[in-house]
Amino acid sequence: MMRRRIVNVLESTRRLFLRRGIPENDVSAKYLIAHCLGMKSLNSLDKLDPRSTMSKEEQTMLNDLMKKRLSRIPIQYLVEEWDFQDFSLKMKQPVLIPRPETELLVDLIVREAAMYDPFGCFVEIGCGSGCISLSLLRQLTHSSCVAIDQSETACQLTMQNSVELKLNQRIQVFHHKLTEQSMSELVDFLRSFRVEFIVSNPPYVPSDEFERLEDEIRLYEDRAALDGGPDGLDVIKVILAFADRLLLPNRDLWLEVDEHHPPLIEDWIEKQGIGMKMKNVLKDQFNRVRFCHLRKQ
Amino acid sequence: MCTALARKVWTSLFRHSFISSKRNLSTIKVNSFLSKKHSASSYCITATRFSSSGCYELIRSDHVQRYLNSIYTECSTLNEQLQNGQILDEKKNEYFASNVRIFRVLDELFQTQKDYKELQQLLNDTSDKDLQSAASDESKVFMNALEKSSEEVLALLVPDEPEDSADLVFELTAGVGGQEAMLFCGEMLQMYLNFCAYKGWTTGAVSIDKTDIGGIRQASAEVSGNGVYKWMKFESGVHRVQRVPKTERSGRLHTSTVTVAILPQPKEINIEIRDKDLKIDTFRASGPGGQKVNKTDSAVRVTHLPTGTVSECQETRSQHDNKKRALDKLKFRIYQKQYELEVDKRQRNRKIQVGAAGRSEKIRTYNFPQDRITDHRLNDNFHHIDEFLLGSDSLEAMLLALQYESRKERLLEIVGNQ
Repeated sequence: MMRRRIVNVLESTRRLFLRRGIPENDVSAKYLIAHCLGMKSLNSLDKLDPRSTMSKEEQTMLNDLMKKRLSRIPIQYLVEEWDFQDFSLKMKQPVLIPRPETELLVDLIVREAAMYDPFGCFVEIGCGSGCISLSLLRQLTHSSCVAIDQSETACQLTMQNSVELKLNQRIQVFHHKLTEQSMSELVDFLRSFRVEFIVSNPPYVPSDEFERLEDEIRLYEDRAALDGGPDGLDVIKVILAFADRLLLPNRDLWLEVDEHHPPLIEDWIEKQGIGMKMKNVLKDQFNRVRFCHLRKQ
Repeated sequence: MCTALARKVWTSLFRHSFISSKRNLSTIKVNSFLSKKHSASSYCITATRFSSSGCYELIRSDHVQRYLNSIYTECSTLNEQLQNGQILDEKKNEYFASNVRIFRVLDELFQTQKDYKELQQLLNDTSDKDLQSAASDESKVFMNALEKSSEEVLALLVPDEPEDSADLVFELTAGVGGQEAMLFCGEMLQMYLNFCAYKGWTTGAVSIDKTDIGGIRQASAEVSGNGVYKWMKFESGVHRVQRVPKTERSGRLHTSTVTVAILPQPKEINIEIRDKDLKIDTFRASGPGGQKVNKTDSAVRVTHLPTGTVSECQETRSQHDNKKRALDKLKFRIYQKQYELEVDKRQRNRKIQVGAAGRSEKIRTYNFPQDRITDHRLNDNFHHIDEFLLGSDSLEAMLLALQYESRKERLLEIVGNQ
């Protein structure tokens, strides 16, 4: 195998992806090639001398990744890393890949953080890769956190990321599935912590919609992190009950949800007599209703 | 009175350190004024290397005297009124408040002038050789004090311009002249980097576009520190170099150019950018969002609708972070545009210009055969190019001269307008 010019490899890879209906053919090709060259930024790729070439080893690596991409495996799993806010996280199939909307959720919480005890603790339900908890720990420098996830892979990934970011001393990760039955145990355990708020990006996709999602998500990301049941509210309902039991008055619950959820959540709270009030419903950067800010009464 | 003054002179001789009577004020070594601890706000020196008028000379020019006298008399009256317990109306109060500092310094200056005149009297009246020499030495001390007070007055009359406290980015580009231009570009880069170190500033993000044949095509760097923009701003423009290249066989003189751009980067850009004036383009614009979509295209383009300024970023894999960076870049670009408009307005009629207008002007010529550096905005020439290119006190002296000339120009603008 000869050395080939990167511009040519890029073009042929992109064309292949295009022919085979791979979404984002241009960016996919670029990220894979950049990864083989040891780069993370598309800018670095653009800055290369147009006459640069790829070695035999680099091409072999690319071919392997290309095949996987043709099976619709997400880029983030292929490069095993992605950026969230101003830092990087390791990614591992099938742990949920962070979405940009979630980056905004972190900002919203930090903006309100003045009302929380800076030395207090927060709880995350369904931490996944750890993006929310670790991002909050970076900005709320005196806080500590307890994060749980029902997937052991996710727990390990969160712990790995916390070590890389040197935040492992401030986070405790538990492998635990939150249900109506298991709730009491968790609430008892957490009572001794000064929990200022609970945050979650729970599965909120309605089951029938899940079936229509693109292959990257449907085939490779953890269904349990996405499928929220018939109306997408299954896990959210459990979290509401949990927050009602754990939180002291005037402490908060922050949720990322589906666009149509907020009024349904308010109805549910009323119907079930949950002692929480919807303080604010907020839109994301794409102008869709996305976040619920609830307060324990 | 004569004895009292004589006593005063004798005692002061022991208190102040004075310069030997043989040396005249104008030959004080430049270095003694130009130590590294030279404060950024002091700009006036009296060495011979360039224009011989000092700050005191400047103050004594007709226009300025008249202007200062009017402030002084007005403030004296107001001061007296205040001392007598009178209450001034709002306008008078404002006037006094904004001029009280100059008033106090002028007071000191006029007092020193009076003492100096008395001393001159003494010198003329006495024939005692010892007293004469002591008095003449003492008069140097008074001159110093007068210079200092004048510096203060000028600093108050002609304050720093708003961008003077900013950090900066400097860019050097080799112009006409092929390899010669690129070689000199490299020498100028070294000079500026040395100067930054000499002044104790921090340089960062140094980017150099080297060539295979020696020299550099382009270079840029960020500089931060106390007064960086104020010092470096006059370097903007085209620098011309005349010398016989090493490779030149027939000994012919070549002229080549290097363009220097100095861009202010204020620490905080206080530009208000309203969210509704921004158009943000990202890949994911329509369709469902949140958990239902996974996109890797994180490029962001931000357009400021009122000014049409655009900035883009695809540096990181986080759309959120790229947006922040694009907004920062946007702020900087809008600031640059605004800055250039403002500066051009302010400087339209000035000889010493900075900013966009000044950037294509030929500001300086380095003539190697004659070992002479001519800044076309100053009256005097400098020598010893080798020393100049070291980027320490020689360059500093020229920059001080430019600051002084610029201030002089601005002073006359202010005073002339009254």
